[in-house]
Amino acid sequence: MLDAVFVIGGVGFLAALVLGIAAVTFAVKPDPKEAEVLDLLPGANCGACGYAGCAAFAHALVQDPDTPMACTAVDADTAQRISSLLGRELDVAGPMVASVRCMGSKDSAGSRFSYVGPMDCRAAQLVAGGYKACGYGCLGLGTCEAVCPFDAIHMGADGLPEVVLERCTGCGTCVDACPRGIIRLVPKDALVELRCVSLDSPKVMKGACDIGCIKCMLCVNVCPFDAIDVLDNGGPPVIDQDKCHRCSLCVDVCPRGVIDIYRVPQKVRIVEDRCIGCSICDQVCPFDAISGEPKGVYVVDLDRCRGCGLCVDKCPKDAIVRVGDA
Amino acid sequence: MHIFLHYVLLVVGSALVNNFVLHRFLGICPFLGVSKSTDTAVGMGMAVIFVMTLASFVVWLINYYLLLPYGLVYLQTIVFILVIASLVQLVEMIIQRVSPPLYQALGIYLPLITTNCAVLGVAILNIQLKYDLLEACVFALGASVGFGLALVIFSGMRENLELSDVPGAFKGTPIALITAGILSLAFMGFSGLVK
Repeated sequence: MLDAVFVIGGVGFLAALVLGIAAVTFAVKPDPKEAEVLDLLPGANCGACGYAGCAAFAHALVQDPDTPMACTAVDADTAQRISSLLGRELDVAGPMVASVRCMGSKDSAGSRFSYVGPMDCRAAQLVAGGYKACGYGCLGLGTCEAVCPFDAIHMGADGLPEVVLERCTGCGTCVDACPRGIIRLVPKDALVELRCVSLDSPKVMKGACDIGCIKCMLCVNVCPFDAIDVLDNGGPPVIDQDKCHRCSLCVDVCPRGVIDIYRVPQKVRIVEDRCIGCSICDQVCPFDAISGEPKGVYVVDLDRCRGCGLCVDKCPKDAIVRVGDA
Repeated sequence: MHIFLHYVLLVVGSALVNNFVLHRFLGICPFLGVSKSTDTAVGMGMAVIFVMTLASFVVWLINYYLLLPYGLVYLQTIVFILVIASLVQLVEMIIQRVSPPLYQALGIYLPLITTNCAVLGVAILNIQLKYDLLEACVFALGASVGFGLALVIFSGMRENLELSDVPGAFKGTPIALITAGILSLAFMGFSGLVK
């Protein structure tokens, strides 16, 4: 009996001892940099970088100096810290967010037939091209919500997905999952979006959806910055986010209410003791919102100002600031 | 020459005639678990060959120089499991340090073998069949080669199964089990080759 105890205990002890010694002798020290980089990465393993997960991406970043900073989920600050850890400059793309380009809710766009089957847009799309009256609109079964690794898309009560901007990292998982190609990535500060992708003619569109774009061109004509253009594919006008100043004139003029602005920019005011009355702001304002006498102090008519910020950029004395800023 | 023939027969016997998977039904779990693609099957097969031979060697020594003198043969199973598990762990550590490419190739399969009953089975059979040290190692080599062979053949069949029109009710594991049975029948053709 005692023999058994000693033999088993001895074998166990010996094995433990050998393993312990081996663990120290043959220890493979992981690069501490890798662990630090991994700590800074979001850890959601979304795969937007093209690697198997955050750990694999951290390994590649540290080992291969040519690896681009492909992570879409880190903010600029974190990316900067990773750059300094690695001791090299990383090109960081501006933050992107998912944008759902359909506003045809259950009430505004009807169904062609009643769909019975898996509650997944990809499955529904296979049945006669989807049940929605509009052949381009959101099917609303929440595939994007299900695949989002950051819990940043939720299906609203109207049957359309809503993106939680604070959580969305622009990883693009939902973009790939959406069978209708409605979701795209837009720069996070590009805040005006025409939410319709239908290539249907205005007549067909009016029959299918109460809200979809009918290509009336009002937005194209009203834009003071020439930021809205028509492509020759018959689709809705396209907003050039580089030219757009978020004045939201197009939002107001759209008869279908299909142009959306995420965050209305702050209006501007003039700091009186800095203004020298040069009148540049008056000349540059597309909305006639600034008035005053040359050499005097100019004032902003807040009812007319749309917060485009042209004057802020042009003022030689930095005398124009956003309302709310110091 | 006679001695050499003896070892050849030992290998053929354990690899083909009394194949561990298809005749003795040991190691069925990895046989079904990692046979979905030939790549993983080859990796698993290599890892098993390596571990089984090494484990047989160590376990034989433990049995004859530790358990037998103290009359503790009834503790065989538990001691063998203990030794095999620590051995696999040790080998994994050494390989990781000495040969990272080999470590990458064997990958997850090395630690998985810790619980492979074929490894324990070969160790116990070695004792039951009263093999000497060299015979035990050759027997284990043959057995593990047989395991790898069955695994690779089966994975090839399963890769083809993926493309064939299988009746709905049999898709996946059921047809894999049926295929394994037929493969086992085919291996019965070897019986009688070696006594």
